[in-house]
Amino acid sequence: MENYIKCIAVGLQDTGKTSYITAFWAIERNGNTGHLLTFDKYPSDTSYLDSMATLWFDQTAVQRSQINITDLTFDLIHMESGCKFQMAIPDFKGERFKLILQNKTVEEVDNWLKQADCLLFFLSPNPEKKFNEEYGEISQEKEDYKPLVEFTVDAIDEWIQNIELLKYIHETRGDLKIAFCVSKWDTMMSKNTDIENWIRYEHLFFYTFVKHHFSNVKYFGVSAQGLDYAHRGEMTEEKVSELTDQKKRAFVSNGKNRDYDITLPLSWLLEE
Amino acid sequence: MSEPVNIKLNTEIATPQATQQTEGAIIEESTYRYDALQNVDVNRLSSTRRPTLVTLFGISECGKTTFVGSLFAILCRRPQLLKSTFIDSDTLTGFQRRVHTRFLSEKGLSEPPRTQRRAGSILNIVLGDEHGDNQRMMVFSDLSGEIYNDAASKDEVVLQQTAVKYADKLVIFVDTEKLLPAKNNAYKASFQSLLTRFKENSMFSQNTEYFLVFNKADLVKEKTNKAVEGITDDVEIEKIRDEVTNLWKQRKLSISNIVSPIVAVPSNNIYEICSKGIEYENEDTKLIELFNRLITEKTPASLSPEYNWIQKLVKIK
Repeated sequence: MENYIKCIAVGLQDTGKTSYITAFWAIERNGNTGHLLTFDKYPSDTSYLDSMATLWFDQTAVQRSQINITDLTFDLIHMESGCKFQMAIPDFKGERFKLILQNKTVEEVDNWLKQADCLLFFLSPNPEKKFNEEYGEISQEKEDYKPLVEFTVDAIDEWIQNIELLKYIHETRGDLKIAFCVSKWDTMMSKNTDIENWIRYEHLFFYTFVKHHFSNVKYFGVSAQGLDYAHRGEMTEEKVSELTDQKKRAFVSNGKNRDYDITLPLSWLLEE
Repeated sequence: MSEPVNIKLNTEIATPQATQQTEGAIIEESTYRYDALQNVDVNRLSSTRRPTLVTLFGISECGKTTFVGSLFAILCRRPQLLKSTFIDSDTLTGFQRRVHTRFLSEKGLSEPPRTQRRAGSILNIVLGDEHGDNQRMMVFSDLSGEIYNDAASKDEVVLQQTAVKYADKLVIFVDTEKLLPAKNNAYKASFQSLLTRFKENSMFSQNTEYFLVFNKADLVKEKTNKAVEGITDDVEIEKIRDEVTNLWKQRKLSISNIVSPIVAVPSNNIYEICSKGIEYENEDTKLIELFNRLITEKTPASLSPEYNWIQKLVKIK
């Protein structure tokens, strides 16, 4: 049985969309991973994915999309059910989504949204901006913060921007199935907290909006790089290279455990 | 998931149009999605249940924007204090504009008054109870203080403020910072002119519930502390405290004397707050109490679906 599923990767700038798609390709392209999904056949043109994967293998930050890649189609097979899926997963620049918040019509995104069966929605683990008064004292970090006088889209808190994007999606398509992927989860593992609870406590406003508008969602922590290159700690280049070979570098997490099957968010989206 | 939210932007009702506002300026349509709305745009909001309109009333610098920013912060991060759950808003960017303005004020910066005049003033939010049930829409009118400054001297500006005329709850802000000093005459005169002009133009309704809010009330305590600085004699300290307390009572009475002939404010609707009082677990209890009262529906009974409150708000002038 073969299904054609249209999935769109949504997220603001620097939320890890391209990194995830790159790691997915780098890890799963040759099969034998024991992961839930693997490639049934290669995409017809992988030059974009290959160039990104080279950076990933070289432990260099994957540059975020400089162009909008709209024709990425993955032919995947579910290893447990044997079902084959064709998954179209365009990689739009985060700026395209920001344009939506600026009241612009972004036709290519709109067209994809209208056809999408499900979403991979990427979130960054950054905290919300808060008022000094909420802390009770003025922290040094806040003191150094110099806002622009003019109001721009960047003055909107990132988590509010996420809600606005979801609101737009809900207005366009209604209640879609969404896998939320919080990126850079390697930097969050020390918190040892269930990811849905983390969203509920740290980003309650976002959580309740989702709860009251989307009925079929799941939260995943995702580390596509497997580490923060700027703060390696014990993760030397040698060590990371070994983990890459063992396919134990990138991981997905429920907040407490690591699962090296990076296909989990997509395979969940493909479940009935 | 709870029941679908049956409150939405109804884009079929009306198309936003440029609005004639004060000083002959034409309001430009926002370049941001989900920005605050103009009065005419309010027709686009539709609801099967009557929204509650809360109008914030006061001249510039009285703390309305800080007040809205604090309300938004509490709704975002500590809605349990208001026994509420955030469900939706069509004006999230509008709220963020106010948050931005407040961040600017922390740095002693502000947007140009012209920008403030042009910005939309209507904000909405859909709230549920603690479990997300019993959903209702609250609509806030947060006009720029600059427009109220203009209204204090021009009938034409007063007559445009339909959100004052049809308010379910109207919050009159008093700026303690301007009232507390000895030279407060100009402030009080301007405050009186503003109220009188709205009264003379029949813009205050008997159906409205009025609140009188002395904002930045923490300055009274600050004044007391400053007055007793360096004094060690307890009797002397007590005497100074009494003096400041009495002075503050007189100041409040002078405002009450202006307000009471114009609108009726019940004594339990008079608040002394600090709209910045949102420190975690050390919140200004009066501020939270006021928020709670403002976001409670005035008329819980649902109206007929044919009754479009918001169209009435704009069309009947």
